[in-house]
Amino acid sequence: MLKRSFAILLVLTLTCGVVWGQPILSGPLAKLDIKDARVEPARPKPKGTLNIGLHFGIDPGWLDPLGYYGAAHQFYYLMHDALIKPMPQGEFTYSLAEHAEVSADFTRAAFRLRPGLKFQDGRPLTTADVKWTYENYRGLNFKPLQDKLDRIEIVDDRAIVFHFKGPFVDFLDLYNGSGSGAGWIVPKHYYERVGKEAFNARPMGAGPFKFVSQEAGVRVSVEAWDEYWRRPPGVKFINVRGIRDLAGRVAGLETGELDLAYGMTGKLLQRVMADPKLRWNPNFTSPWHLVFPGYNEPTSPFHDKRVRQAISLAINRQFLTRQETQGIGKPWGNWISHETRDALRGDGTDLPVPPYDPGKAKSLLAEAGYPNGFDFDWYVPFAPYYDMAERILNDLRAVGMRSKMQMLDAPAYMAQTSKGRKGFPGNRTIVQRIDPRPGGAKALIRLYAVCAGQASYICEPRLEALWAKHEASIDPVERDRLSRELQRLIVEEYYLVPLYLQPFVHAVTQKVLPEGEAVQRYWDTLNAPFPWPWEVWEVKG
Amino acid sequence: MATIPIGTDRTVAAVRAARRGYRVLQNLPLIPLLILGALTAMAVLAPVVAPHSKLDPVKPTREQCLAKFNFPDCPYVDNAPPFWARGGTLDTPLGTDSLGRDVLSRLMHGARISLIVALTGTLFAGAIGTVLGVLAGYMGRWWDEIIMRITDAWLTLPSLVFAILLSSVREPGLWNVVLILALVFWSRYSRAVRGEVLTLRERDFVKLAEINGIGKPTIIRRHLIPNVMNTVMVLFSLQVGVAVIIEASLSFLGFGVPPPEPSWGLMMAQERESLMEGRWWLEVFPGICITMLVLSANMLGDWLRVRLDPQLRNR
Repeated sequence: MLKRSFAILLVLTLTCGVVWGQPILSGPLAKLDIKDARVEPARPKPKGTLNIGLHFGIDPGWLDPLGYYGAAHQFYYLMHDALIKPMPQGEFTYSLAEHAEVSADFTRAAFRLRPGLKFQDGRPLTTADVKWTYENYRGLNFKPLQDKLDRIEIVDDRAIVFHFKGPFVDFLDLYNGSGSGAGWIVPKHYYERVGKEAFNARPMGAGPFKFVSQEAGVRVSVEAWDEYWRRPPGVKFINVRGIRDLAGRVAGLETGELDLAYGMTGKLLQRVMADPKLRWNPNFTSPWHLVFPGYNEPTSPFHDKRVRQAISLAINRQFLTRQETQGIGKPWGNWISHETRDALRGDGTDLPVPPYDPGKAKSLLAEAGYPNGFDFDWYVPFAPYYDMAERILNDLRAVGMRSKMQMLDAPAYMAQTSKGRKGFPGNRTIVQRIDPRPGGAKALIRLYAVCAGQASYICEPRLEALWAKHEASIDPVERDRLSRELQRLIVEEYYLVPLYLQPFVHAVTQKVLPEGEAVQRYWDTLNAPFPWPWEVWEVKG
Repeated sequence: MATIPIGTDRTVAAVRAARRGYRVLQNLPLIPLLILGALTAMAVLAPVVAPHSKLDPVKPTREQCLAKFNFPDCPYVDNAPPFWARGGTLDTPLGTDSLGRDVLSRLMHGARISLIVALTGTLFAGAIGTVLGVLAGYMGRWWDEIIMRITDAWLTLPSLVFAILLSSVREPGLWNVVLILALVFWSRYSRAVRGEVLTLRERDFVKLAEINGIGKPTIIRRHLIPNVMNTVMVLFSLQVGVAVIIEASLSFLGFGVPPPEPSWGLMMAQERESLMEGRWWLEVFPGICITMLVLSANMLGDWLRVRLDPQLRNR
């Protein structure tokens, strides 16, 4: 009897081993660096409520991965799950997928899902949902994902193969849950039944938290889903509230109405830093930078490189970071974060820190034909960093560039910026932008700095030629070299003007566990603007 | 025969004039007029009398920079208190804001925007509402039905929410706020004026004009509009105060006059955080200005209501 049981166990183990280890794709494979998921099924029951103060209003559209734009990822990590996604272990970490392959010629990619996956309504999550999500995705970067796709082959309920029309080297960059929403799997049966509007109003996914309720623009509440495959969440409820007013968020932390708040800046940052009851994380994300929609039209004042250079020279970055970030922000010479793969450092290592020289800025303006400066239509800051915008407007006015500020709340701002040129049809506007997201520099160049980029204002033949070479190459070394060359050119030509590396300071109260500075572990995901994954958060009950 | 010297005649006339003047003054609402006059003078003379620029930071001295930042060459000194507080100077009597700009100068220039917006917005609203109210009341029938149904529907809209809705459709700006105020407030005039015209049109002078074959446009122009102006004036003075509050609220919420232009509401909105840090002067001074303007407009409105209403006037 014992021998028989042992034999059955051996056969089962071998069979599982063969199936698990068997490649999905035939032929040589590219080497991938995808970290294993940390599965912790034996955890105590979720307890307590985590109240979060977001620094802008909430767009219900951010709950639907199919239309991804803006600051939606924080909600995807709550309610949805992706095949692979950035996690504290690494930029590429297995999640719903337990195995991935990419052919050596980058024309095919395959995934195998974990066994027994299900959505929050109990229905199984299969490759049919993965295929449907990809085919129906219409959010940021959907064009390259659609254009390069030849077909999707469902091998079985757990294995799926993407066939591309040609080499698609950046596929995983765009599909890893950071560059787009296509990798976040939406339940086909539910979405088809209720439709887009109802899904936005009452989303459902395979993530660690189930949707409970929302007040459009103001609040989203979720509840722990104990059956999440990786581990039961640490907290029972999470409420995310949009509080644009910094004083409101700080007061919320001080009175205990909030447990975690974002965007501690400017006037009250010092108060947060000095409060012994609060713990904070500098959470360096991305550099702020200025962009010029329509600059390449001859009628735009920003058409002249000297004007764009004058803008860079007019800004007193040192004083700006002192006033806005208590000096912890770093003046930076690149528009891409130092934590981004393949990025040039903007602290003088790869690219110089832009100097402050208002005298030279004035003379450059005079050379460009603006001895008395000029008025431009709007300066559009990212909500709610309006004080910072006024400081920059002050600096620009000091050298003769005058404008007024257009105050948009984040959903409106992000919707406009994600449309690229269509979002800002005039050519006399400066937009202040930041895009913190895990990933590679190439993904940001694709999005923001080439003609076809969905959110791009830049369309330059020199950049296009380099980008075409980059796209044609499957040699990683050459691609990295071209990416760096593109970054350098973009900065040297002032198509984008970097400001400083933003510390997107988050603060938590004593209610958040663990006690002391061990709480800093929540910010371990590289270059993530928000402290995901949410299932690991714990609070006092 | 005694003769009265010419000089005495003049004295008597002067005394009489002074008595008349005193009686007029006694009946005038002096406090609101003084406040409104002062605010208007401040707004008109702002470019001349404001001690500093409304937009640029006050250039600090080397000593101020050293005291605040420990380095000698700073672009500005932010959050300087009023002159009577420790650290304040007479150069910036009401202190500086978080961008080192003079609060007094911004208040003076802000008065221009707040007054322009409130007066012109209410004026436009009054013009639209009066014309529609007269038409509805005098023309009757389907004119009355259409105009009054729209007016009633309009009146049910909460004014601030409606103003925010309108401002989200258009780009923010001074004249945009004026347009919003006109669109929000016209219905109040039209409802009141229509009621007034319904009684006026039955009066003899209107009937006689009609019998004499005078055209409707002329009757409206000559007989109706002049007779509803009392009501319109009272409403106008009351609505000015509300308009200031709406402008301040819109600016406070980011839908009004775009920064860096100063308006009182915007100045308060931009310094919300400062109150938590004890920098009260950045909130209190614009708040006082708004309160004074609203209060004086309401007091003037009350006075006009009493003066122009024959029943109340004779009590």
